[in-house]
Amino acid sequence: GKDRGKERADTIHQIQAQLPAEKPALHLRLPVCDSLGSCAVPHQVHAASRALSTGVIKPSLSLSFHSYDRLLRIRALRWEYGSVLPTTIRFHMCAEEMEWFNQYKKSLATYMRSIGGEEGLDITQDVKPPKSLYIEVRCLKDHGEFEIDDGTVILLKKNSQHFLPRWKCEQLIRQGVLEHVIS
Amino acid sequence: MDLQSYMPVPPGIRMEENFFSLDDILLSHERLPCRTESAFPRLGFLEKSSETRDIPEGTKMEMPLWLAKGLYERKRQVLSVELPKVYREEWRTVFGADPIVVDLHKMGPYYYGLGSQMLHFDSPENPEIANTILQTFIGRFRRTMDSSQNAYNEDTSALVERLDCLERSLFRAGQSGLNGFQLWEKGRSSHLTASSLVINYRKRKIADLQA
Repeated sequence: GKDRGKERADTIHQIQAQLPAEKPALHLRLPVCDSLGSCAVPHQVHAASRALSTGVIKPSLSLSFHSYDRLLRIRALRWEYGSVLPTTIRFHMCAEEMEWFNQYKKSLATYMRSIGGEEGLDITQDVKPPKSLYIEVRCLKDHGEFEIDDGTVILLKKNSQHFLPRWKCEQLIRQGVLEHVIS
Repeated sequence: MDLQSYMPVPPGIRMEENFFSLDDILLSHERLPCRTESAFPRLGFLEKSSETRDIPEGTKMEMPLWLAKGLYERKRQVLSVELPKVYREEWRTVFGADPIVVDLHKMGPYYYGLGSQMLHFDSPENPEIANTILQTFIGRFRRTMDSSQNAYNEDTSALVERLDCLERSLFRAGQSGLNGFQLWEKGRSSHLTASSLVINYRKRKIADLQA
């Protein structure tokens, strides 16, 4: 099969290469709709103007697709990673995308507060059916100190293993800090 | 099964194209043989082989689907679009005889998608084209489904290489379901895993460092 990522990048480069360096001076208002059939525009001008307007819309489509796809991935990050994005990812986002992410976070939080009774319901948790309250985890990288509900502090050092409450670990497992060990 | 949180826009159904679907955007770059039914003044640059400033009426040229769709009008004579070989009568008989053996990936990776889009150009053969596409799909679907449900943990490249893009996405969906079921059978459906986005990002960072 084709490599999607490369194809996408190639498409964008093709489009960008074809866009004129300066904005073309379009003095005519370009008619796009079929109702023009009734008005007295010379046949050839009609054909040419349709070609031009199609040609102007198409490159902007590819660029807006790229922006839209980025937003879809940023939205996925809220679910996959959590509400605080690491600096490495933030570095690759523009200010508007960061703003969009914050708005999305807020909408999601408002929704979650509104369901499941007084305390709300965190639907980003328990994505897989839980089988036990506590799980065995191994630390994949150093993550410093970690406090659990009863006040105990655990040191998450690389390769250490712990028996911890499931709900505290879920996010760290998704982020690749901990590994769920099944014996 | 992994959390399905990145949901790209799927391709359009029937004769529609979805604006933000990558498959539909790539499909719209497929080139079609066309004939201009009117002159296109000052648009000579569209046809790479011509040296003239204008495109005269009656020129035969190739155009990408997006441009052909933008120019085509039912009531006015602007453009006529010819059917690509795969949708013409000779090939339609081949598909009718045995749809399973055809290499649909080679016949244009978007056989079903492009075929559906061709219906926009009001060819007199539209009913036959539509019927052939449908019957081809029906004829091949069973095999695609069977192979996707029975190929577990093995190299599937031989199975998918003759499939078009629509069939490949169906195959992937089938594999995804099969893998999820197998995980459940093994009792691993509650096994928490790292997010695939995180894993891919980490792989990319290492590749950057090595570059």
